[in-house]
Amino acid sequence: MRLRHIGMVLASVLALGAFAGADELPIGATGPAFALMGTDGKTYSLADYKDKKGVAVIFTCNACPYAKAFEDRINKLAKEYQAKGIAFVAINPNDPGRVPEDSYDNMVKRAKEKGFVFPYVYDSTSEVAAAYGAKVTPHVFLLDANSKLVYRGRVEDETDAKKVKSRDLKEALNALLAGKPVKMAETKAFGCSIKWRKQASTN
Amino acid sequence: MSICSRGGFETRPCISKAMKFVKVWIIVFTVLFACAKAPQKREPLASVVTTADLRSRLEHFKHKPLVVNFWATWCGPCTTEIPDLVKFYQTLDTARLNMIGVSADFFVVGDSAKLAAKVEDFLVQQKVGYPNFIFNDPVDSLANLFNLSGILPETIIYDSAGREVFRHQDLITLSELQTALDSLQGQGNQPQ
Repeated sequence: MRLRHIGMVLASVLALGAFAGADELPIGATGPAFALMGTDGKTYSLADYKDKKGVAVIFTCNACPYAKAFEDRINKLAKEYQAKGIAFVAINPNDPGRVPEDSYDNMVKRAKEKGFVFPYVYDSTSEVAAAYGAKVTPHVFLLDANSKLVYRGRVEDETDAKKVKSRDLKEALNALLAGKPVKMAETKAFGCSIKWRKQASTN
Repeated sequence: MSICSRGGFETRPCISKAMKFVKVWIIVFTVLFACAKAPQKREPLASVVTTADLRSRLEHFKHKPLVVNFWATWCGPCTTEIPDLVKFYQTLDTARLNMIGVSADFFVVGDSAKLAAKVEDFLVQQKVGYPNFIFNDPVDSLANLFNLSGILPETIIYDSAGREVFRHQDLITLSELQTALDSLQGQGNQPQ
């Protein structure tokens, strides 16, 4: 009941600015709040990470091969940077009505199979993704200790780890930890379009 | 005849004319049968291209409006919209307007030959008539070349002067394509 209540409150708050066609959250803006259920059945909210040096909010999914190509690298980064005080949260915004592979149950399976060391949460209305202005999976939004956006875009420039030239998220994480501005604060996220639920994509 | 040995090349001189005739026909039938059974050789529908290749291919399409669809077999909405794109292409006067597909299939890790075969099979199955190119260079090169949003699928229409006149991200419908084309024609961009 409590979960449903939080969800309803959030949905009404987010609905004000939540449209699938909305612009990406601008650098310096405050990361919209969320409270979403993870694959472990617990609810995770942005407020849980108040004490952290930052939060990497990553929109991803089970089905998109482009997103899947980055899972292991995200997990590796999470292992390294969670130890240094930056939280990682992966959010799946896709409508399982459109992509059955993105159902909550399949997320639970995926998280187990891949041994995710971060919460993998279910954006059951796609409204959190809309609030951040996420466009594709994977799409990264890195917030600082005050929940201000310091980096948004891709994880890295290539799916093939051997061809990577630009480790954009890692660079941003390092800058954040060093208290320096992120050099490339915005990169183009490439991937599969988010499979919006109808109510979140009316605009 | 007694000098004829069984088997080997030495048998040739003693084969009667009748035998020769039979042998020739056996060969002819074997060849014909093999040809009928063998898959028909044809040009692949998609060619693998680098950034430079794609640039030079685009040169060929200059001076006519061009529709470019970015897609991949692993992209759900892309494969959903392609039957509509095929229908759209059938209505086009290709003497006046070009259309191409650019596949991002190689952007995921995998064996290139297998990935290309998957694209080819899909194009055959969907009876895609417009030329397709499988991009085989960094994601950034393609994104920069066409100023892509990063969302697949994406469809762009250029006028005959190469100016972008239409851009659509995610799934596109036949009527949206038709409307875009109508407005292009309305602007007098169709060459004479």
